[in-house]
Amino acid sequence: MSRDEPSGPDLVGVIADANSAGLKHVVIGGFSVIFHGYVRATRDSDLLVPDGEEADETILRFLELADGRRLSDDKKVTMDDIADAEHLRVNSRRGIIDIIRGGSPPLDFDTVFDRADTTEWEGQMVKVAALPSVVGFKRLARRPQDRVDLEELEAIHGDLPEEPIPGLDS
Amino acid sequence: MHGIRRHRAENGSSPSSIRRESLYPAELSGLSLNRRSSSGSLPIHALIRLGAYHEGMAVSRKPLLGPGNEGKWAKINRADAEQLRAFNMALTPTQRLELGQKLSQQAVSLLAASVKAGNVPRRALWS
Repeated sequence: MSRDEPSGPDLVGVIADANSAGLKHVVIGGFSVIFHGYVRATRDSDLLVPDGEEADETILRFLELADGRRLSDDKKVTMDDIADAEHLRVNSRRGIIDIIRGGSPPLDFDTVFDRADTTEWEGQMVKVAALPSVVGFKRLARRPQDRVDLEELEAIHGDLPEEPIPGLDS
Repeated sequence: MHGIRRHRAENGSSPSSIRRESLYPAELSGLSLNRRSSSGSLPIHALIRLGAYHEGMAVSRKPLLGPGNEGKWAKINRADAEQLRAFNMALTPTQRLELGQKLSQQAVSLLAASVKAGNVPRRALWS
């Protein structure tokens, strides 16, 4: 699929490319909300990725496989761009992909990765953020869509698991 | 008084074709002017005067798509939302991902068509 023909997020393809590149990741964002029961449309695939040089190299490999270019200026992403970035938004043959570094505990990569739900989908293993992590990300982001997501998840699961988020609850 | 109730009061009967007008408008649409209703109890033109029948559709005294129906809409929306949640939760997580992906791709495809047709600025695709 060409990057110039918007086709919506292809999460199966994103995961396939991430696995091929050896990129450790957890699915967060809209698809994690969908996974936990609120099925809605989303514009992009969001991946939480670790920090560090090794991770940066795999991110670059992943972007090459996915034919990803920075969304803001269509620039081919370099190692320097990746090393400096907390967040990369790219357009790719798999649709728009948001690549986000882990934050402070409990939203750091290791915690989110260790507690993630793992499932097999389309012949590959997928790691999706567990409900407490999803709630944490949503509480932190506070966009209108995040509020709707939390309301819907609460309607499905009852009281949501809330953990103290640095900068938000302290 | 509402047409149906007035009809019942005047005739002392409740023909099934009238009683079920809001649920089965198709049954009524099979009738035509200058004919008697299938029950034979009331001519069609009388039903029209009573507001119980309109050619091709049933006429409600208080349309749902009008003011003053907040309570009704809240009930409908609540039932819809509960039904949707139940449907979503009946799916496995991977079925949800599949459905979410398909839904997202359809949504973007529709948006792209709308951009192409000039209804939406192109930046809507990438915002």
